[in-house]
Amino acid sequence: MIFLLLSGSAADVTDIHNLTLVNNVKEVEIISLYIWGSDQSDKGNSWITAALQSDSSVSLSLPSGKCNILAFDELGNSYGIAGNYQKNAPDTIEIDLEHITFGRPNVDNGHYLLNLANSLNGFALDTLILSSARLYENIVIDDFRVFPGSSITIWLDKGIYSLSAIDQIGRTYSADSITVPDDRRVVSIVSGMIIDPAPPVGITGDGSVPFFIENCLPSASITGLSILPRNGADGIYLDSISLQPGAHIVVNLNPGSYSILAADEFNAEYFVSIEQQDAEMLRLAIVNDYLQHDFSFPPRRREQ
Amino acid sequence: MGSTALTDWLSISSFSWSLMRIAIVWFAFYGAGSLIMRIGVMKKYFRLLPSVIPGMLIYMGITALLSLFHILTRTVLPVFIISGALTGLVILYLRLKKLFSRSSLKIRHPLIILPLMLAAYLLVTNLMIAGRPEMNFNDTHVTYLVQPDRWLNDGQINFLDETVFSAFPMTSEMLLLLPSSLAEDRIDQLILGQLFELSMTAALILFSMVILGLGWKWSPAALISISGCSTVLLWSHFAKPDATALFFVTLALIILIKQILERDEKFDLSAFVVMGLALTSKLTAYFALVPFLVMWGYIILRGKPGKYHVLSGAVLLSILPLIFAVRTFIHTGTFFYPHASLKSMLKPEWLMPQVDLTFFTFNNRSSEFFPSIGFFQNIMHYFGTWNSSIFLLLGGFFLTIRNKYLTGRTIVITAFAIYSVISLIIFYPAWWGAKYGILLIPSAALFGLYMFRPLKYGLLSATLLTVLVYFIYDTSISPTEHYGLRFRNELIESYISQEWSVYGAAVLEEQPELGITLWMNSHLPDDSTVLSFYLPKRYFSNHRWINAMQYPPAAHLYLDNCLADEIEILEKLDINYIVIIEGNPAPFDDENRVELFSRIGRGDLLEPLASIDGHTIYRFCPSNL
Repeated sequence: MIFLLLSGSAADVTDIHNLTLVNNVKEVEIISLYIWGSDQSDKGNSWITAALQSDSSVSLSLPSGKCNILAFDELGNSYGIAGNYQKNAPDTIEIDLEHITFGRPNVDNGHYLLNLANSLNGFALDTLILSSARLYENIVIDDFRVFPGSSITIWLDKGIYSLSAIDQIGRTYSADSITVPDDRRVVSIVSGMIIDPAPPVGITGDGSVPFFIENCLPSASITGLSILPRNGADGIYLDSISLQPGAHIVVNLNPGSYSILAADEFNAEYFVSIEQQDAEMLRLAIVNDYLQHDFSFPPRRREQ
Repeated sequence: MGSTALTDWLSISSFSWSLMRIAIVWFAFYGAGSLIMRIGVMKKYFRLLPSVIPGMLIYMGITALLSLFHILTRTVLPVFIISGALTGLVILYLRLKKLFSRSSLKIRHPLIILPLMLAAYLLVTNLMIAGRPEMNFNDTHVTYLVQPDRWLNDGQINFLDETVFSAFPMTSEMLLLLPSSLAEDRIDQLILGQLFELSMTAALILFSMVILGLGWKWSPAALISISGCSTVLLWSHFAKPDATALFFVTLALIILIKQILERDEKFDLSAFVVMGLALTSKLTAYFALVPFLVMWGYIILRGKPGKYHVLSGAVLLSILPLIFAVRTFIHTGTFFYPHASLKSMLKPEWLMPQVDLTFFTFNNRSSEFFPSIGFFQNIMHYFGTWNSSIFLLLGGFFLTIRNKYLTGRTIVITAFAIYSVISLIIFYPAWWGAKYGILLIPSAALFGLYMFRPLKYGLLSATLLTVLVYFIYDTSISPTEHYGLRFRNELIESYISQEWSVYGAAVLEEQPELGITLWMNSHLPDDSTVLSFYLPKRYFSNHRWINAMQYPPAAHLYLDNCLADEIEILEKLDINYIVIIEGNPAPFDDENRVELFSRIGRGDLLEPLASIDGHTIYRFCPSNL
């Protein structure tokens, strides 16, 4: 580790840089502060032993060179300054909300980072549980909502971990043998990790290939579904269904092109085109991205 | 529920249907105005007033009246429009019949056909540009088309307090009610608004030529100069008041120019009504008041009209601005909010707190974020936007310097020069501010053509000059943005084939927040109030949409508050939801100003609801704390 306080050779001493870090986050204490070399994977131990009050500062003597700074506050927010502190760096760095890691929150449970990415269709992850033989108790992270496409950075000690994740409708996903540290550093949570997947709520159609349609709208049930062949043949119309979030149905289709139109309980419509190949089982997730543009005028709001 | 494909507009039939509805609106103005102009007093004192102007005033009155009864709806207003349009069609038919029975349209100059074709081509392609909905242009989506939309939804002209621009005078927004009421949905409404505004530029050419007595053979030069001016086109094809102000300012000045140059001593008050409308369309029209007053001053000095004339003019000029100023006063406590000089009078809720945001600095084009430009470079850019009108103006003036009535022409050109100097100073740098200084471009072109008229080869030289300048401006040496021939040809192809094939331009600009806005429309209660920390566009939203930086009570969030203060501000505003750009709630690094940002994603206070296209919506839950 390069950031040991130096007491060695004269050459080393000349490379020491004095830095004052100020907590400029109002009303919130900084409870831990990590500074480590940009080329290192271990963030080391906290550089402060007592909480850094708002508007107070701490002076540090650091070796020169690129490094990362990561601070955690009492609310669990993290503040990151990556790789921008060099020999000619300022003497003072103010930690404030400009540095908060909104998009990639950090959770501090050790020295090495593990990125957990939500690669699900539509559903956010609300709870992450990490277990390991080395842990006295599981690490439970339940104060972030990790939306699809987002990730969360968890700092863990060396070890092999198991992960349980619970999405916003209560389904559990599981992954074992996650090694920390690992060169990949990113673990994606995908729908295939789900424990006890629910069976389809229904089967329809008389085609030769099963096609799965899943409601991946987290807060709306699908109340209408039309599957229309693009060749003008008769389609399938399901008008009075209630496909709950996470539920799916199986539609047996013949190979060909189809337009699929779904309506949710709020009367919003979702449209997608699909191509059903021979003998290939497809899975369609109805997600918000397929929301149809509805530009119609709203009903009069204030009837006088 | 109805859904609209974003490219339904891309067809000749759809384009024609849009044009037809715009024509209906103009016929309605013409019909109502023609009836008014039959009144004796109008004929006596408003000889130079185009019939559409009183027609516009009539319809502004009708919208106000319908608003009083809360029936200003998409059902009731069209009834009045159709009635007026039918009247207008009948009157026009009778007039044209009478006109053609007296004379016939003879083309004595066959060569005029070529520039005429170019002019028609420019006009049609300009309309096609306006027929493409501008999805990501802030001004329209923040306020200018939002107001007519909300008024028609609510059945009345109400004061939308979530946009400070509601305090502006709103002649343009009231006129936009007419095409808006004929729209089928919000995309269609956007297109009609754009086409209506662009049609103002064509209309101002027509009416100005009639006032100046320029025959139809001057129309190619006028059309190429004005419709071919890319800056005019750019700022006239949005559904915002620029073209309306351009329309009124041009007509007002042209009426005065007519009186100056033809030494017309008759008592005419038309210019004052029109200038009053200009002043209530866009606040930058007040700068055009300078040349207006210079010309009026000359007319007064020269003709020595009676006190009654001067007083009547002043009253007519100020009556409309005063009406809107009183409305603004009732709501805000000052007459010209948000440009309030008397801040002590301002109601506390409208007082914008002094917040020093990086965003505001970035919006200041003379700030350090933008390169400064030199004195001559600035002048070059400013007049570069004038296209051929500056050449017509200067050419016409110098070529007729030995002709009689030089004083009048000198007064007019001096008035233009004063306006230009003011624009150059106030709207620095010109690459940004030229858009505010374009109000005199059409009148410069028309006045220039008028000066070419007595010359032996005036028509030929003026037409050649405009064509030549147009084609020079179509090359890369153009000092401004331009809509080239290739772009226009591909546009025509796209409309015909219904397949977008314009090189380098998307069929539609992307509006990044559109997905989350439409999701909110269908998934949140109608009476919700949404606070956006950055995104200002509210046009497509069905909800009360407040922008934290632009709405004075919400801007207090950026002051030195504690979290409890911020929660109190949000509660007072009845905020239900907060929308932010994911991972970047305050672009330009202004995050530090708001304590609430330390609670984003932390569960209790701001409960994350949905994330679409990089935008996240949170439910504001102070009761959870």
